[in-house]
Amino acid sequence: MIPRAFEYFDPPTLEEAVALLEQHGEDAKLMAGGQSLLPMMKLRMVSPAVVVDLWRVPDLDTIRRDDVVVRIGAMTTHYALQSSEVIRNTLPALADAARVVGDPLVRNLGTIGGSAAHAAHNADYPAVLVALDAELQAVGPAGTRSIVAEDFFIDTFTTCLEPTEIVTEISIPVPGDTECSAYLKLSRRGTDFAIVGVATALTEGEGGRCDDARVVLTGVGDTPVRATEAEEILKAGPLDPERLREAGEAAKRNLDPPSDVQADAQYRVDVSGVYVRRAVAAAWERSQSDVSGLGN
Amino acid sequence: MARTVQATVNGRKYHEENVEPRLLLVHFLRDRLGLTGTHVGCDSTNCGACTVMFNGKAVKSCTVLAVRADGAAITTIEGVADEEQLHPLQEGFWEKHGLQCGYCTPGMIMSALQLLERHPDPDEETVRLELEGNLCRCTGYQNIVEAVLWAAGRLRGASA
Repeated sequence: MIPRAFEYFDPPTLEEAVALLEQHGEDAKLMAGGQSLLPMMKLRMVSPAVVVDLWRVPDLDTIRRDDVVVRIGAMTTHYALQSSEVIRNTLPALADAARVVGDPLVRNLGTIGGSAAHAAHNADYPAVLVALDAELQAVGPAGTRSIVAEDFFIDTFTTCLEPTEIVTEISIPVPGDTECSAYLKLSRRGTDFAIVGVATALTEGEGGRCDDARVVLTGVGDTPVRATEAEEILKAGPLDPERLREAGEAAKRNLDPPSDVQADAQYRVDVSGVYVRRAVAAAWERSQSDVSGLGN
Repeated sequence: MARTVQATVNGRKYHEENVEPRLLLVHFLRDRLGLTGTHVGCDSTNCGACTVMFNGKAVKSCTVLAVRADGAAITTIEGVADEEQLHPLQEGFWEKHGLQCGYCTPGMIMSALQLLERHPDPDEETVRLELEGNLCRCTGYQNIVEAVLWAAGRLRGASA
Protein backbone atom coordinates (compact mmCIF):
# COMPACT_ATOMS: atom_id res chain seq x y z
CA MET A 1 0.00 0.00 0.00
CA ILE A 2 1.38 3.35 -1.09
CA PRO A 3 0.02 6.76 -0.12
CA ARG A 4 -1.22 9.06 -2.86
CA ALA A 5 1.44 11.50 -4.01
CA PHE A 6 1.82 14.60 -1.85
CA GLU A 7 4.04 17.61 -1.56
CA TYR A 8 6.42 17.24 1.36
CA PHE A 9 7.97 19.86 3.60
CA ASP A 10 10.11 19.31 6.67
CA PRO A 11 10.78 22.80 7.98
CA PRO A 12 13.47 23.30 10.63
CA THR A 13 11.45 25.77 12.73
CA LEU A 14 7.94 26.06 14.11
CA GLU A 15 7.56 29.50 12.50
CA GLU A 16 8.15 28.01 9.07
CA ALA A 17 5.79 25.14 9.83
CA VAL A 18 3.04 27.59 10.78
CA ALA A 19 3.72 29.61 7.62
CA LEU A 20 3.35 26.45 5.52
CA LEU A 21 0.04 25.67 7.23
CA GLU A 22 -1.15 29.21 6.53
CA GLN A 23 -0.13 28.86 2.91
CA HIS A 24 -1.76 25.47 2.32
CA GLY A 25 -4.72 25.63 4.68
CA GLU A 26 -6.81 22.48 4.94
CA ASP A 27 -4.86 20.78 2.13
CA ALA A 28 -2.00 20.29 4.60
CA LYS A 29 -1.56 17.66 7.30
CA LEU A 30 1.03 17.81 10.05
CA MET A 31 3.12 14.73 10.65
CA ALA A 32 4.67 14.01 14.05
CA GLY A 33 5.69 10.36 14.50
CA GLY A 34 3.54 9.34 11.56
CA GLN A 35 2.32 6.17 13.27
CA SER A 36 -1.35 7.03 12.80
CA LEU A 37 -1.21 9.37 9.82
CA LEU A 38 0.89 7.13 7.56
CA PRO A 39 -1.26 4.02 7.99
CA MET A 40 -4.33 6.14 7.19
CA MET A 41 -2.59 7.60 4.15
CA LYS A 42 -1.60 4.12 2.97
CA LEU A 43 -5.20 2.96 3.34
CA ARG A 44 -6.14 6.21 1.54
CA MET A 45 -8.54 7.11 4.28
CA VAL A 46 -6.79 10.46 4.10
CA SER A 47 -4.81 11.82 1.16
CA PRO A 48 -3.43 15.22 2.05
CA ALA A 49 -2.02 17.26 -0.83
CA VAL A 50 0.69 18.56 1.48
CA VAL A 51 2.49 16.94 4.41
CA VAL A 52 4.34 19.18 6.84
CA ASP A 53 6.68 16.92 8.80
CA LEU A 54 7.87 18.24 12.17
CA TRP A 55 10.78 15.84 12.62
CA ARG A 56 13.49 18.45 12.00
CA VAL A 57 12.11 20.99 14.48
CA PRO A 58 14.45 20.87 17.50
CA ASP A 59 13.59 20.85 21.21
CA LEU A 60 10.03 19.56 20.90
CA ASP A 61 10.81 16.32 22.74
CA THR A 62 11.90 17.41 26.20
CA ILE A 63 10.35 16.48 29.54
CA ARG A 64 10.79 19.14 32.22
CA ARG A 65 9.43 19.23 35.75
CA ASP A 66 9.43 22.00 38.31
CA ASP A 67 7.52 22.30 41.60
CA VAL A 68 4.14 22.89 40.02
CA VAL A 69 4.06 21.54 36.49
CA VAL A 70 5.44 18.84 34.20
CA ARG A 71 6.02 20.12 30.66
CA ILE A 72 6.18 17.54 27.91
CA GLY A 73 7.26 18.48 24.40
CA ALA A 74 4.69 17.46 21.80
CA MET A 75 7.20 15.30 19.90
CA THR A 76 8.09 13.23 22.97
CA THR A 77 7.72 9.59 22.00
CA HIS A 78 5.68 7.04 23.89
CA TYR A 79 8.89 5.16 24.65
CA ALA A 80 10.51 8.29 26.10
CA LEU A 81 7.46 8.78 28.32
CA GLN A 82 7.23 5.18 29.50
CA SER A 83 10.92 5.11 30.37
CA SER A 84 11.04 8.55 32.04
CA GLU A 85 11.58 8.44 35.80
CA VAL A 86 9.90 11.83 36.10
CA ILE A 87 6.76 10.61 34.35
CA ARG A 88 6.66 7.29 36.20
CA ASN A 89 7.08 8.94 39.59
CA THR A 90 5.00 12.05 39.05
CA LEU A 91 2.27 11.05 36.62
CA PRO A 92 1.83 7.27 36.88
CA ALA A 93 -1.37 7.25 34.79
CA LEU A 94 0.53 8.80 31.91
CA ALA A 95 3.29 6.19 32.21
CA ASP A 96 0.59 3.47 32.32
CA ALA A 97 -0.84 4.81 29.06
CA ALA A 98 2.52 5.32 27.33
CA ARG A 99 3.51 1.69 27.80
CA VAL A 100 0.32 0.34 26.23
CA VAL A 101 0.07 2.59 23.18
CA GLY A 102 0.55 0.51 20.03
CA ASP A 103 3.54 -1.80 20.41
CA PRO A 104 7.25 -1.27 21.21
CA LEU A 105 8.07 -0.46 17.57
CA VAL A 106 5.27 2.07 17.25
CA ARG A 107 6.22 3.57 20.61
CA ASN A 108 9.70 4.37 19.30
CA LEU A 109 8.24 6.83 16.77
CA GLY A 110 4.74 7.78 17.87
CA THR A 111 4.41 10.95 19.93
CA ILE A 112 2.08 12.25 22.61
CA GLY A 113 1.35 15.47 20.71
CA GLY A 114 0.61 13.57 17.53
CA SER A 115 -1.70 11.17 19.33
CA ALA A 116 -3.53 14.00 21.09
CA ALA A 117 -3.99 16.01 17.89
CA HIS A 118 -5.05 12.87 16.00
CA ALA A 119 -7.80 12.46 18.62
CA ALA A 120 -8.87 8.91 17.87
CA HIS A 121 -11.93 8.17 20.00
CA ASN A 122 -10.30 5.03 21.40
CA ALA A 123 -6.76 6.36 21.92
CA ASP A 124 -5.14 6.09 25.33
CA TYR A 125 -3.83 9.60 26.03
CA PRO A 126 -6.98 11.73 25.64
CA ALA A 127 -8.67 10.19 28.69
CA VAL A 128 -5.45 10.48 30.71
CA LEU A 129 -4.94 14.12 29.75
CA VAL A 130 -8.47 14.96 30.84
CA ALA A 131 -8.11 13.01 34.09
CA LEU A 132 -4.80 14.74 34.92
CA ASP A 133 -6.22 18.18 34.05
CA ALA A 134 -3.61 18.75 31.35
CA GLU A 135 -3.33 21.82 29.18
CA LEU A 136 -2.14 21.76 25.59
CA GLN A 137 -0.07 24.64 24.25
CA ALA A 138 -0.62 25.47 20.61
CA VAL A 139 1.22 27.90 18.37
CA GLY A 140 -0.36 29.55 15.36
CA PRO A 141 -0.15 32.71 13.27
CA ALA A 142 -1.60 34.77 16.14
CA GLY A 143 0.87 33.42 18.71
CA THR A 144 0.44 30.78 21.37
CA ARG A 145 -2.56 29.75 23.41
CA SER A 146 -3.28 27.22 26.10
CA ILE A 147 -6.21 24.80 25.84
CA VAL A 148 -7.62 22.74 28.70
CA ALA A 149 -7.71 19.05 27.72
CA GLU A 150 -11.42 18.79 28.43
CA ASP A 151 -12.07 21.50 25.79
CA PHE A 152 -9.50 20.17 23.33
CA PHE A 153 -11.27 17.01 22.17
CA ILE A 154 -14.41 17.83 20.19
CA ASP A 155 -15.19 14.71 18.17
CA THR A 156 -13.51 11.63 16.73
CA PHE A 157 -10.42 12.85 14.84
CA THR A 158 -11.45 16.42 15.64
CA THR A 159 -9.91 18.85 18.10
CA CYS A 160 -10.44 22.55 18.68
CA LEU A 161 -7.17 23.32 16.88
CA GLU A 162 -7.34 25.65 13.91
CA PRO A 163 -5.83 24.23 10.69
CA THR A 164 -2.91 26.63 11.17
CA GLU A 165 -2.14 25.64 14.78
CA ILE A 166 0.46 23.18 16.06
CA VAL A 167 0.52 21.54 19.50
CA THR A 168 3.94 22.24 20.96
CA GLU A 169 3.70 21.18 24.56
CA ILE A 170 1.49 19.43 27.07
CA SER A 171 1.62 20.69 30.62
CA ILE A 172 0.26 18.76 33.57
CA PRO A 173 0.08 19.99 37.17
CA VAL A 174 2.40 18.17 39.58
CA PRO A 175 0.07 16.18 41.85
CA GLY A 176 0.20 16.71 45.60
CA ASP A 177 1.44 14.05 48.03
CA THR A 178 -2.08 12.73 48.57
CA GLU A 179 -2.90 12.39 44.87
CA CYS A 180 -2.45 9.36 42.70
CA SER A 181 -3.51 8.17 39.28
CA ALA A 182 -3.78 5.12 37.07
CA TYR A 183 -4.78 4.15 33.56
CA LEU A 184 -6.09 0.73 32.68
CA LYS A 185 -6.82 -0.49 29.17
CA LEU A 186 -8.63 -3.47 27.74
CA SER A 187 -7.50 -4.55 24.30
CA ARG A 188 -7.38 -7.91 22.62
CA ARG A 189 -3.77 -7.72 21.48
CA GLY A 190 -0.81 -5.43 21.79
CA THR A 191 -0.91 -2.90 18.94
CA ASP A 192 -4.69 -2.50 19.30
CA PHE A 193 -6.59 0.56 20.36
CA ALA A 194 -8.62 0.38 23.55
CA ILE A 195 -11.90 -1.49 23.62
CA VAL A 196 -12.34 0.45 26.85
CA GLY A 197 -9.75 2.43 28.78
CA VAL A 198 -10.16 4.17 32.13
CA ALA A 199 -8.00 6.97 33.47
CA THR A 200 -8.46 8.05 37.04
CA ALA A 201 -6.92 10.61 39.38
CA LEU A 202 -7.76 10.54 43.08
CA THR A 203 -7.01 12.72 46.08
CA GLU A 204 -6.85 10.86 49.35
CA GLY A 205 -8.52 12.54 52.30
CA GLU A 206 -9.06 11.83 56.01
CA GLY A 207 -10.56 8.58 57.23
CA GLY A 208 -10.21 6.58 54.05
CA ARG A 209 -12.18 9.13 52.08
CA CYS A 210 -11.48 10.26 48.60
CA ASP A 211 -11.62 14.08 48.55
CA ASP A 212 -11.45 14.43 44.83
CA ALA A 213 -11.87 12.01 41.96
CA ARG A 214 -11.69 12.22 38.23
CA VAL A 215 -12.73 9.21 36.19
CA VAL A 216 -12.45 9.41 32.41
CA LEU A 217 -13.17 6.70 29.85
CA THR A 218 -11.89 6.19 26.33
CA GLY A 219 -13.36 4.01 23.59
CA VAL A 220 -16.96 4.56 24.67
CA GLY A 221 -17.80 7.83 22.91
CA ASP A 222 -16.61 10.31 20.31
CA THR A 223 -14.37 12.00 22.87
CA PRO A 224 -13.07 11.11 26.32
CA VAL A 225 -16.13 10.57 28.55
CA ARG A 226 -16.04 11.83 32.11
CA ALA A 227 -17.96 9.60 34.52
CA THR A 228 -19.20 12.45 36.70
CA GLU A 229 -21.79 10.39 38.54
CA ALA A 230 -19.13 7.85 39.49
CA GLU A 231 -16.87 10.67 40.63
CA GLU A 232 -19.57 12.01 42.97
CA ILE A 233 -20.11 8.55 44.47
CA LEU A 234 -16.39 8.11 45.08
CA LYS A 235 -16.27 11.42 46.95
CA ALA A 236 -19.37 10.77 49.07
CA GLY A 237 -17.84 8.57 51.78
CA PRO A 238 -15.02 6.24 52.74
CA LEU A 239 -13.74 4.28 49.78
CA ASP A 240 -14.68 0.66 50.40
CA PRO A 241 -15.48 -2.20 48.03
CA GLU A 242 -19.20 -1.39 48.07
CA ARG A 243 -18.63 2.26 47.13
CA LEU A 244 -16.25 1.13 44.42
CA ARG A 245 -18.87 -1.22 43.03
CA GLU A 246 -21.48 1.55 43.07
CA ALA A 247 -19.10 3.86 41.23
CA GLY A 248 -18.55 1.20 38.59
CA GLU A 249 -22.30 0.76 38.15
CA ALA A 250 -22.76 4.54 37.95
CA ALA A 251 -20.11 4.81 35.23
CA LYS A 252 -22.15 2.40 33.08
CA ARG A 253 -25.25 4.59 33.15
CA ASN A 254 -25.78 6.97 30.25
CA LEU A 255 -22.95 5.43 28.22
CA ASP A 256 -23.65 5.10 24.52
CA PRO A 257 -20.57 3.33 23.16
CA PRO A 258 -20.06 2.16 19.59
CA SER A 259 -20.17 -1.45 18.39
CA ASP A 260 -17.40 -2.71 16.16
CA VAL A 261 -15.57 -5.88 15.22
CA GLN A 262 -13.78 -5.95 18.59
CA ALA A 263 -16.76 -5.60 20.90
CA ASP A 264 -20.42 -4.68 20.81
CA ALA A 265 -21.86 -1.72 22.67
CA GLN A 266 -23.29 -3.72 25.57
CA TYR A 267 -19.96 -5.43 26.18
CA ARG A 268 -18.27 -2.03 26.31
CA VAL A 269 -20.85 -0.84 28.85
CA ASP A 270 -20.36 -3.90 31.05
CA VAL A 271 -16.60 -3.81 30.89
CA SER A 272 -16.59 -0.08 31.62
CA GLY A 273 -18.02 -0.80 35.05
CA VAL A 274 -15.37 -3.41 35.75
CA TYR A 275 -12.51 -1.24 34.49
CA VAL A 276 -13.64 1.83 36.44
CA ARG A 277 -13.56 -0.32 39.56
CA ARG A 278 -10.14 -1.75 38.79
CA ALA A 279 -8.58 1.56 37.72
CA VAL A 280 -9.81 3.36 40.83
CA ALA A 281 -8.58 0.50 43.03
CA ALA A 282 -5.19 0.59 41.30
CA ALA A 283 -4.81 4.34 41.79
CA TRP A 284 -6.02 4.13 45.38
CA GLU A 285 -3.59 1.38 46.27
CA ARG A 286 -0.77 3.44 44.81
CA SER A 287 -1.73 6.28 47.15
CA GLN A 288 -1.69 4.04 50.22
CA SER A 289 1.53 2.60 51.50
CA ASP A 290 0.01 -0.08 53.70
CA VAL A 291 -3.66 -0.37 52.86
CA SER A 292 -5.09 -2.67 50.29
CA GLY A 293 -8.06 -4.94 50.21
CA LEU A 294 -10.19 -3.17 47.62
CA GLY A 295 -9.42 -6.07 45.34
CA ASN A 296 -10.72 -5.79 41.83
CA MET B 1 9.18 17.02 -5.59
CA ALA B 2 11.72 14.24 -5.38
CA ARG B 3 14.56 14.48 -2.92
CA THR B 4 18.03 13.15 -2.39
CA VAL B 5 18.56 10.74 0.49
CA GLN B 6 21.99 10.07 1.93
CA ALA B 7 21.90 7.32 4.50
CA THR B 8 24.27 4.87 6.12
CA VAL B 9 22.85 1.37 5.89
CA ASN B 10 24.73 -1.50 7.53
CA GLY B 11 27.79 0.73 7.71
CA ARG B 12 27.79 1.54 4.01
CA LYS B 13 26.98 5.02 2.70
CA TYR B 14 24.29 5.33 0.06
CA HIS B 15 23.43 8.38 -2.04
CA GLU B 16 20.05 8.04 -3.72
CA GLU B 17 18.54 10.73 -5.87
CA ASN B 18 14.95 11.17 -6.96
CA VAL B 19 13.34 9.74 -3.87
CA GLU B 20 9.63 10.45 -3.99
CA PRO B 21 8.25 11.72 -0.64
CA ARG B 22 5.63 8.97 -0.58
CA LEU B 23 8.21 6.21 -0.93
CA LEU B 24 8.20 4.12 2.23
CA LEU B 25 11.45 3.17 3.91
CA VAL B 26 10.83 -0.54 3.38
CA HIS B 27 10.54 -0.07 -0.39
CA PHE B 28 13.57 2.20 -0.39
CA LEU B 29 15.61 -0.54 1.30
CA ARG B 30 14.29 -3.36 -0.86
CA ASP B 31 13.80 -1.79 -4.26
CA ARG B 32 16.38 1.00 -4.33
CA LEU B 33 19.17 -0.55 -2.26
CA GLY B 34 18.41 -4.20 -3.06
CA LEU B 35 18.29 -5.19 0.61
CA THR B 36 15.46 -7.68 0.38
CA GLY B 37 16.06 -9.29 3.76
CA THR B 38 13.61 -6.78 5.21
CA HIS B 39 10.18 -8.20 4.41
CA VAL B 40 6.84 -6.61 3.61
CA GLY B 41 4.23 -8.50 5.59
CA CYS B 42 0.93 -6.87 6.46
CA ASP B 43 1.97 -3.47 5.11
CA SER B 44 -0.33 -1.92 7.71
CA THR B 45 1.83 -1.33 10.83
CA ASN B 46 0.71 -4.54 12.48
CA CYS B 47 3.05 -7.44 11.78
CA GLY B 48 6.59 -6.09 12.21
CA ALA B 49 8.11 -8.18 9.38
CA CYS B 50 9.64 -4.93 8.06
CA THR B 51 11.38 -4.01 11.34
CA VAL B 52 14.77 -2.31 11.02
CA MET B 53 16.99 -0.36 13.39
CA PHE B 54 16.63 3.33 12.54
CA ASN B 55 19.03 5.61 14.40
CA GLY B 56 19.29 2.99 17.13
CA LYS B 57 15.58 2.32 17.49
CA ALA B 58 13.60 -0.61 16.11
CA VAL B 59 10.83 0.70 13.85
CA LYS B 60 8.36 -0.62 11.30
CA SER B 61 9.90 0.50 8.01
CA CYS B 62 6.53 0.32 6.25
CA THR B 63 5.50 3.24 8.45
CA VAL B 64 8.42 5.59 7.90
CA LEU B 65 8.88 7.85 4.89
CA ALA B 66 12.14 7.14 3.08
CA VAL B 67 12.91 10.87 2.97
CA ARG B 68 13.30 10.74 6.76
CA ALA B 69 16.25 8.41 6.24
CA ASP B 70 18.33 11.34 5.03
CA GLY B 71 21.27 11.45 7.42
CA ALA B 72 20.09 8.34 9.26
CA ALA B 73 22.02 5.25 10.31
CA ILE B 74 20.05 2.10 9.57
CA THR B 75 20.73 -1.54 10.31
CA THR B 76 18.80 -4.24 8.48
CA ILE B 77 18.97 -8.00 8.95
CA GLU B 78 21.81 -8.08 6.40
CA GLY B 79 23.93 -6.05 8.83
CA VAL B 80 23.41 -8.15 11.94
CA ALA B 81 26.02 -10.88 11.41
CA ASP B 82 29.71 -10.12 11.80
CA GLU B 83 31.16 -11.25 8.45
CA GLU B 84 30.69 -15.02 8.47
CA GLN B 85 29.96 -15.21 12.20
CA LEU B 86 26.24 -15.28 12.96
CA HIS B 87 24.96 -12.96 15.66
CA PRO B 88 23.96 -14.89 18.83
CA LEU B 89 20.33 -14.09 18.04
CA GLN B 90 20.67 -15.69 14.63
CA GLU B 91 22.38 -18.65 16.24
CA GLY B 92 19.58 -18.81 18.81
CA PHE B 93 16.91 -18.98 16.11
CA TRP B 94 18.94 -21.81 14.55
CA GLU B 95 19.55 -23.72 17.79
CA LYS B 96 16.01 -23.36 19.15
CA HIS B 97 14.25 -23.76 15.84
CA GLY B 98 12.82 -20.25 16.17
CA LEU B 99 11.32 -20.24 12.71
CA GLN B 100 9.07 -22.29 10.53
CA CYS B 101 8.38 -20.46 7.28
CA GLY B 102 10.88 -17.75 8.20
CA TYR B 103 8.91 -14.80 6.90
CA CYS B 104 8.71 -12.97 10.22
CA THR B 105 12.26 -13.88 11.25
CA PRO B 106 14.19 -10.78 10.08
CA GLY B 107 11.71 -8.53 11.89
CA MET B 108 11.73 -10.74 14.97
CA ILE B 109 15.52 -10.57 15.13
CA MET B 110 15.61 -6.79 14.69
CA SER B 111 13.04 -6.33 17.46
CA ALA B 112 14.89 -8.82 19.64
CA LEU B 113 18.13 -6.87 19.15
CA GLN B 114 16.49 -3.85 20.73
CA LEU B 115 14.88 -6.00 23.40
CA LEU B 116 18.28 -7.32 24.49
CA GLU B 117 19.80 -3.83 24.44
CA ARG B 118 17.06 -2.62 26.77
CA HIS B 119 16.77 -5.82 28.83
CA PRO B 120 20.04 -7.79 28.79
CA ASP B 121 18.64 -10.36 31.23
CA PRO B 122 14.96 -10.63 30.30
CA ASP B 123 12.45 -13.05 31.75
CA GLU B 124 10.02 -14.83 29.47
CA GLU B 125 7.23 -12.32 30.06
CA THR B 126 9.48 -9.42 29.09
CA VAL B 127 10.45 -11.17 25.87
CA ARG B 128 6.81 -11.77 25.01
CA LEU B 129 5.78 -8.18 25.79
CA GLU B 130 8.67 -6.63 23.90
CA LEU B 131 7.91 -8.75 20.83
CA GLU B 132 4.27 -7.66 20.83
CA GLY B 133 4.79 -5.68 17.64
CA ASN B 134 5.90 -8.75 15.68
CA LEU B 135 3.49 -11.39 14.47
CA CYS B 136 4.35 -14.96 13.46
CA ARG B 137 1.59 -16.49 11.38
CA CYS B 138 3.06 -19.94 11.92
CA THR B 139 2.44 -19.10 15.61
CA GLY B 140 5.86 -20.40 16.51
CA TYR B 141 6.15 -18.00 19.42
CA GLN B 142 7.29 -20.60 21.92
CA ASN B 143 10.50 -21.33 20.06
CA ILE B 144 11.02 -17.66 19.18
CA VAL B 145 10.92 -16.80 22.88
CA GLU B 146 13.32 -19.64 23.64
CA ALA B 147 15.66 -18.45 20.89
CA VAL B 148 15.76 -14.94 22.34
CA LEU B 149 16.34 -16.22 25.86
CA TRP B 150 19.12 -18.47 24.55
CA ALA B 151 20.74 -15.51 22.80
CA ALA B 152 20.42 -13.39 25.95
CA GLY B 153 22.37 -16.03 27.84
CA ARG B 154 25.04 -16.19 25.15
CA LEU B 155 25.43 -12.42 25.04
CA ARG B 156 25.71 -12.17 28.83
CA GLY B 157 28.30 -14.93 28.78
CA ALA B 158 30.23 -13.12 26.07
CA SER B 159 30.26 -9.84 28.00
CA ALA B 160 30.98 -11.41 31.41
